[in-house]
Amino acid sequence: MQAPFSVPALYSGKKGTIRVSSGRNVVEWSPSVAPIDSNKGSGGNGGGPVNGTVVIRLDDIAGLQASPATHAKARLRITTTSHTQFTFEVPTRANLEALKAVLASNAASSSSSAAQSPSAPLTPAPTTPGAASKSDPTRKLAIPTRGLSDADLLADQALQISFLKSNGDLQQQFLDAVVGQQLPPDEFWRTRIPLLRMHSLVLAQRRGPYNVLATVKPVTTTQSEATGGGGGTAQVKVSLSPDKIRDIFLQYPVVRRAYDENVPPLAETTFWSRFFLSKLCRKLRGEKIGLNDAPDNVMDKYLDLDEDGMTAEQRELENENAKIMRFVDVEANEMDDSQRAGNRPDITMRQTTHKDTLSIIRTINKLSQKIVESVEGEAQQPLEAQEQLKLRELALEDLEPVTEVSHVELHLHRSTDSLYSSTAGKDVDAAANDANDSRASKVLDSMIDSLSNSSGSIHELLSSAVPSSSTISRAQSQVFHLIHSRRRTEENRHNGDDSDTPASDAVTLRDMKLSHTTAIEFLHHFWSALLSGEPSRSVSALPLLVTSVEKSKTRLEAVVDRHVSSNASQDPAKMAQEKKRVQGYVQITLDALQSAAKTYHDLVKEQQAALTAAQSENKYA
Amino acid sequence: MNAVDGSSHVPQVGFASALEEELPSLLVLILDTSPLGWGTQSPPISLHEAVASLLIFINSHLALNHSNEAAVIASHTNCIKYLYPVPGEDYSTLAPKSTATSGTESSEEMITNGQSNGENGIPNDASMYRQFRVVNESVMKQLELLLLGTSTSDIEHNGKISDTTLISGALSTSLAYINRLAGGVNDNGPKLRARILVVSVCSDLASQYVSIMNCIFAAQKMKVPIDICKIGNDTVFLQQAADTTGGVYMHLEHPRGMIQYLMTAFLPDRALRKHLVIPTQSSIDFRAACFCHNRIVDIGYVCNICLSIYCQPPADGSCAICDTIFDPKELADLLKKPVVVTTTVPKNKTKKKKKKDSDATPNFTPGP
Repeated sequence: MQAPFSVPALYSGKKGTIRVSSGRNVVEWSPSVAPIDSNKGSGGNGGGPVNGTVVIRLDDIAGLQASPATHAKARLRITTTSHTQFTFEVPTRANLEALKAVLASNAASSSSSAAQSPSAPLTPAPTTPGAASKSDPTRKLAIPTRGLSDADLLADQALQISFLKSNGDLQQQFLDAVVGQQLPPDEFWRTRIPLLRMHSLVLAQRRGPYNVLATVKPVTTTQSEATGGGGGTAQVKVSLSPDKIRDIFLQYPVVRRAYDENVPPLAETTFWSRFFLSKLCRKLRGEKIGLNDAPDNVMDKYLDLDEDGMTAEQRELENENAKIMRFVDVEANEMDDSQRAGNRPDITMRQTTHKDTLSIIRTINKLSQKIVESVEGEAQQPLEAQEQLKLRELALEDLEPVTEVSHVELHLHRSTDSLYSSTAGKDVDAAANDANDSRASKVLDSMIDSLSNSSGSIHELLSSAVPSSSTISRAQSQVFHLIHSRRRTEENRHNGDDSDTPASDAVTLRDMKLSHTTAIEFLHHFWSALLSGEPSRSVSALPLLVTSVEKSKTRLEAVVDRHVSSNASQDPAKMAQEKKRVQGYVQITLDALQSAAKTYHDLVKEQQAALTAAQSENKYA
Repeated sequence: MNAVDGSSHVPQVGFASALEEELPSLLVLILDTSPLGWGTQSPPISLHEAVASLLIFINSHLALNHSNEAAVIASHTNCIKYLYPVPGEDYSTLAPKSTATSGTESSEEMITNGQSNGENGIPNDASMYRQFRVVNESVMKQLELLLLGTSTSDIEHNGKISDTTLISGALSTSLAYINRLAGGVNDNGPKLRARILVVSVCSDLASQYVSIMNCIFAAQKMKVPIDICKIGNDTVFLQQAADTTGGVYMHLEHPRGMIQYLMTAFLPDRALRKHLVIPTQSSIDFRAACFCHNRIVDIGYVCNICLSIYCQPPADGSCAICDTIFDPKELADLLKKPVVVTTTVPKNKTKKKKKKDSDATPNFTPGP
């Protein structure tokens, strides 16, 4: 959850930058392009490439060691699991602490050390990365370099296991088909590659940074026995997790500075309770500082510093060096100053008024910018690209020339009959039609006859429409049967029941569902193997799959039989009826299984026959 | 069919109410008059009996509300024809008072004089409600004219009796008719509730797949339910028509009892159906017909550009509708034949095959 963190550092006597990128899960040191000043610093003599970039995976870090505070130089030694040591030298003590905290928090899951480290005496603080990686398996999987290609996904067992764990239904199916029915795991996953890919991507997702202070809500209770030492009668209750403290330090270096400088004299709890009541906290939160806010001699010292713990002068100095997008550079754009044309400056540009408001806007702006930048990819955007983006935002769409919409034209051929042959589709009916051929005129005549006979009286005609009462009642029963079955469906839908009728007891229903799912699974694999057209796949896997398909059929039938026999009613007619009813639910599946097996056996027979024929031909040739 | 001139008989609906229940109801009945269909159907129900049932049904519909309207369209093998109202015919001359302005009339229309309308040749029935009589006589007369006017060559197609009927033409005509009477889509909403009832005996409509589907979607948009009264074999697209538009699909198991089906299942109109359980079948055949051979397909191939449906990958590698040329590699993948045995015949006749020498696999052709 951390922002990419970077500090300048010396490695092997070379200037460079050390970056901790939690997204990529690595610590990376890269030399700066500036020429090497070999006089400066005493480099470490750790292994690894000296000229190029040093990359250490966070998972591999076995120990962190910082040089003692008394030591002149601030150094950090990273020991990896392969017992390689890297020693980096950072310019300031504060930088060292920050770097160490970030590394430690990245490597350890219980990051109490992150909260503790600033106050703790600067003793070696080895961490246990083994536990970390074990407790957080997703981190290991989340390396995007891990391929998303089909083959990679099929080979990635860790991913598959984690996916099965996250999906109960699938796990059941897996157990049923692969463990129970010996379906090769590869076959099982082959039909689910998109799901695997999705899961892999899901694992790679991380929660982005957020404004921590806004989430910490101190609850003020007015009790007389104030112990917190905060303010008078008010007792402030704040729940802070180590994670939150770490994030506060990361987002507001000024708080870290205040903590560093004051916690040895103050107790940790005292510090935090005072902080949350102070003007400093209000300022950082972007709230207005009222006159009646209690002064705090410790915290108020930091009021003048901005969030990064810099004074106004320092900030200015930095700004001078920083590259500013020309687009928003007021000084560079002096010629285009709108104020000269008589416009009032924007509220954010006015120095005199609304000082409070301004500082709030600035705080919030800075925070959002920081958060956005910390999201990987955003920060790396070059200045030019940003400028382009801004220009595009400003462009007025209406003033742009209208671009012609270029549709792809489709030229459709319409033919009255069919496209290829007009008779092809009617082959089936041809025989029937031939028989009717001679009847063409007969049919017509009979129709005319039947009509003209009735033309005597419309009354007579109409009364002829009334059939016998038995026909009427039969018709009636069909209509009512439909109404009843529809009504049942509607009711079931209302009750959230997805089946047409309560099929049977719960056990049968469960068995049926399970067998059905497995059957579908095998059918899926069967057809994909058969239609793949790859001899290597189909010839080796098909016989096995066909056996499974046939077994699925037997299994499904067995479920039905078991149900019928368990609900034993002695009446064979009733039993048959019940069987028919229950079988109705799975009939489609049974048919599909049957037809799959038949297709296969037909194909085998046919191809074998062709083969024998070809071979005997060869023999005689 | 384009000659229908509506100006003479488009009724003026008295008051357009905002309440759907109070709007007059229009029933458009499409009667399939395919000779082959009725020829094969003659044992269960003859055309004559069916027409009689339908006339009773139409009369009941007209009796339900004073301002209800009806239209009957025959869908023949090679044409469609209005059976009622007939274009150019002025029904107001048949009786002293006009049916068109029925909204303002009272029940005095009951004709009690025994005069016969000699002009249509059918003896008049003295005790019949005039509106009924107008419809009944018109339908009988026009139907007879239609059949008499049909020559054998009309119903023969390539030397066989054509087994199709122009349902799509009849559907589009009725939708146009409804649109005209409903006054299109305006601010006041439609002036009447319309529905279509198709009495179908013909089972093969595959050649009209696209036009029927277009009609279905148009009807859905116009909120016109299409009811299907099916005699004979089920028809795929008509099931979809009823399902999509919220109509009733009823396959008559006892065609002789047609009147009963009509009265119980098809009489309630759209407004009433909201409150009823509709007796339509729940399982619907959603299959489509391929564009190439007009076969009805379970699983087919679809052009990725124009969405044309094919029952088999096009032989020339391009879409016959839009000329898109398909990727030959993809096509080859689709055309791959399943291979289940290897070149070496297994010694024993078991199904277990060992993979040997797979590079020389000949391309076996499985059955169709």
